[in-house]
Amino acid sequence: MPENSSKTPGRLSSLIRWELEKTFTFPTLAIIIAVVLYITVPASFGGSRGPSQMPSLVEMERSFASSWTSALSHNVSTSFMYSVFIFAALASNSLSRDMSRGYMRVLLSYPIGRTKFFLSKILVLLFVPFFIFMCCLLFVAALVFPGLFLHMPPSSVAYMMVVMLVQTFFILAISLSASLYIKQPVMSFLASVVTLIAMDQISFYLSAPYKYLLPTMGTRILMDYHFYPSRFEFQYTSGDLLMSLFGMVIVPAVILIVNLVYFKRRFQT
Amino acid sequence: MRNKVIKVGYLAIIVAVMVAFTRAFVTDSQPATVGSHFEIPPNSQSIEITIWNTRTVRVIIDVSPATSRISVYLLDEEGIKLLHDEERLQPAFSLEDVDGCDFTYQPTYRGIYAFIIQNNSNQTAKISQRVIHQGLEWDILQFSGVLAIIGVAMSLLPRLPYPKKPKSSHT
Repeated sequence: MPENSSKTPGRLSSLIRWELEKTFTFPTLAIIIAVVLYITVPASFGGSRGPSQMPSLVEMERSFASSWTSALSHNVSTSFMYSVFIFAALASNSLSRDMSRGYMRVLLSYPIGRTKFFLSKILVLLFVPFFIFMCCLLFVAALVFPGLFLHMPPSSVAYMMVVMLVQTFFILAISLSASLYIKQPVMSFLASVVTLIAMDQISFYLSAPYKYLLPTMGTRILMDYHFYPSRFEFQYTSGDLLMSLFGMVIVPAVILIVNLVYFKRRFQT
Repeated sequence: MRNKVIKVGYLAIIVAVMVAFTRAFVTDSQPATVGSHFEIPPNSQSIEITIWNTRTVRVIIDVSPATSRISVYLLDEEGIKLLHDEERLQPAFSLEDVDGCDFTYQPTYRGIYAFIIQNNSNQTAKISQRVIHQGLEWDILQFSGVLAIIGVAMSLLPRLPYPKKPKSSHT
């Protein structure tokens, strides 16, 4: 039986640091950065305006910066396919590999709270790739149009980050579940990739309210809600948005809670 | 610390290579064409504000009827500021009293440019405009080059055999 986490000396911060150093070693980190740059750097934007009077330069910069942020938001939904491979590899490397090689048995023999241990994995595997992705996106924003970067509306950038976090949260929940139950790195990687790609493809063929439960249609509706309000009013209903929030936030949260309970109470190495 | 500097150097090289190959070179083989059609009333003008990167731009403007005469002014950010604040026209490139044009322009920076097309004739001019972007993004290549040099320096310099300081002996 796992010990009560409140009595264990294993601090969450130490576990996070350990997980960080174990998972994000040099080749893994370099590959993730290279892949994310490959996705984000070609982001293009070519806007034009036809005003009757010459507006001030600041007005133009604000207007173009807002459109540039919308253009960058497309990268979030298009990054889904690459994110699937990144998260599946990370989850299977972090969880299934530890189980198949017996590291998990050794680790859990130490006085470490299982809840803290599992939470440290979730926090590291969720926030580090998300942080890399957002840094790359902001780097591209500054690299491609440095004059517009400082005029990008902070609320839109923050919203884009939140939607990105929601999408990565969904991918992580599925990948972590596959790794936890399959316990074999290659098989769990393949299972995560196949499941997530199948979900993505199914989302295109389902009927209207249900297809927004899954990415990437769920991600698109969240983006359109903020960046293209006229399109949102024309194409979607508020029920579609709620369906998207349910599928992209509540379902993965429930999956992770179930996994946490399973890991804490039932999991045997 | 030494190993961390070397690893950051490697990451800088990876970033430089990825940025150069996914942006500066790839776009060279993808000429982007933007077309538009619009009308300008007699003795009037049209303003078009665009955003360009540093790829070479070819602008083709056809006017009909052929008897129409137009003047084309291309304004950079400084020109836009001058026109808005002081109502002074200082174009980066201009062609006056022509019946169409086909010119190539190398933007000096990434950012906002404005086109002013004046219809000098007493009849409505129908404008057909094409803007074709092609070439390398030299500023990205320069940036990647600098980043790669920094990366190489960071990955090589810590490997040099530095002479150790002799221990001071206190007698």
